Amino acid sequence: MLPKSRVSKALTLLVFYLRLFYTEQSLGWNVEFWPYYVFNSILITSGVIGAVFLYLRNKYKYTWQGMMQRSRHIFVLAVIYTALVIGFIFLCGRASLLPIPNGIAQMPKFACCAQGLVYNPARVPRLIQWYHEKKLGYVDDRAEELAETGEVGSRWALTPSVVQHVGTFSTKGEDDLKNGEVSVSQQRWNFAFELNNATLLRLEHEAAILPTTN
Amino acid sequence: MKKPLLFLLTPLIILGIAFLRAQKSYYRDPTSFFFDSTRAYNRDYSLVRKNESDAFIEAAATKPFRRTVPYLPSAPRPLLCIGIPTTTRPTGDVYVRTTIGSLLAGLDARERDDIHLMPFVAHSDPNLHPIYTEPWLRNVADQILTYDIQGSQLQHVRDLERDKLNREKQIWDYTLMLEACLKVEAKYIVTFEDDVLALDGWFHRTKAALQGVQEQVDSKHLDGCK
Repeated sequence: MLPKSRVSKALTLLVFYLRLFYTEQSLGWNVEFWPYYVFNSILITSGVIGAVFLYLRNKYKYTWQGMMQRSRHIFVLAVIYTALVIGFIFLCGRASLLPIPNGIAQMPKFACCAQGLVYNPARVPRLIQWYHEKKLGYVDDRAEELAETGEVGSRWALTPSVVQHVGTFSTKGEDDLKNGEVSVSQQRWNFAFELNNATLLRLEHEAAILPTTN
Repeated sequence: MKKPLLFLLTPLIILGIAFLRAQKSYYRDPTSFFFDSTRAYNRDYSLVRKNESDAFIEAAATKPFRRTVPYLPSAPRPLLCIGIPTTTRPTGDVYVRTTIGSLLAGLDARERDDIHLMPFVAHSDPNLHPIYTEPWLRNVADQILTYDIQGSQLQHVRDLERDKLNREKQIWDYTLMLEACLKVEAKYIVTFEDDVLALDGWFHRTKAALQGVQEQVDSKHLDGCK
């Protein structure tokens, strides 16, 4: 058996970095997942309509044929309304309806920007070598490229982001933007960050550094 | 006639109310139809935190706040080596004071001892950056990284600066910074850009998150061995 310290040292090679900042911008409904969305939509639609008909059948002893004849309008309306509700759900936005739970999670794709990253030092020599090979580019894009090769381990993200990107105001050309338009750099923004409550954060911090909890 | 009308209208009314509610709730969600870019970028907490950071930096001009553990082979290594490459912007805006202030404001002494803070003034002449000569920087930084290189390498940096080859210089700067952090032998290496703001408590949350990642990786690995 290996000594414990050696085991955990080897295990850390499985991790590349932990992300302290990301923008929700890239976490919307993804076209790649359309079969999943369609399947769920059909499942919900048939579930709702099936439940209504089952209720009518049990309560009023309707037969299926009778219902189809008498309630054709109801059936059509139910389909339309269910479609409207599903459409509405999609409009609400994925980041709000299926938010990433608080804590840590792997985020191998759709993550953006190098505003704050915690690297595993065991992986940094390879990253340095990679930067030397590539010579130019954006540091975050290059790091993602390296991660895509699969040789440096998994990518993790902390939710909620503990860092905000604030270097976006009064950049050049901002004046040319019409009302409501934002510059590319300002789009690197974590929207949930602004909802933090300073008092709650301070209390949480104080509790975390109590000597007994260490 | 009454009942069908009710059947027709009730869902529409409910949907209408839901629509209005959604406009109120989801204007900050960029993945939402109800996203409103005129309000979504409103600064709330980050303004509060910026004030805390700026107050900290102001006080730091006369009040040091550095790691107190000696850098001896026998002494414990810091948990984090934090590298922050910083250069001046064409617009003249400087955010890095706020960045460093927000990383340190509110930390207690033990948390501070877990951090090796290393701003990197990435100009061939560091005096071109306004913070380089400001007294607070030496009071809070454990190491101020500058180009400690001679001859052809320094000339290379000057060439990059002169030709505004930012995409090449950024890679170069990061490489130098990561190498400097490796020498510190901290448990983790953190890179922040010079225009970010950290929330109060970022350190204890990050520390817990790193422990969590380690635990999850460990348990997965052990499962795989069974």
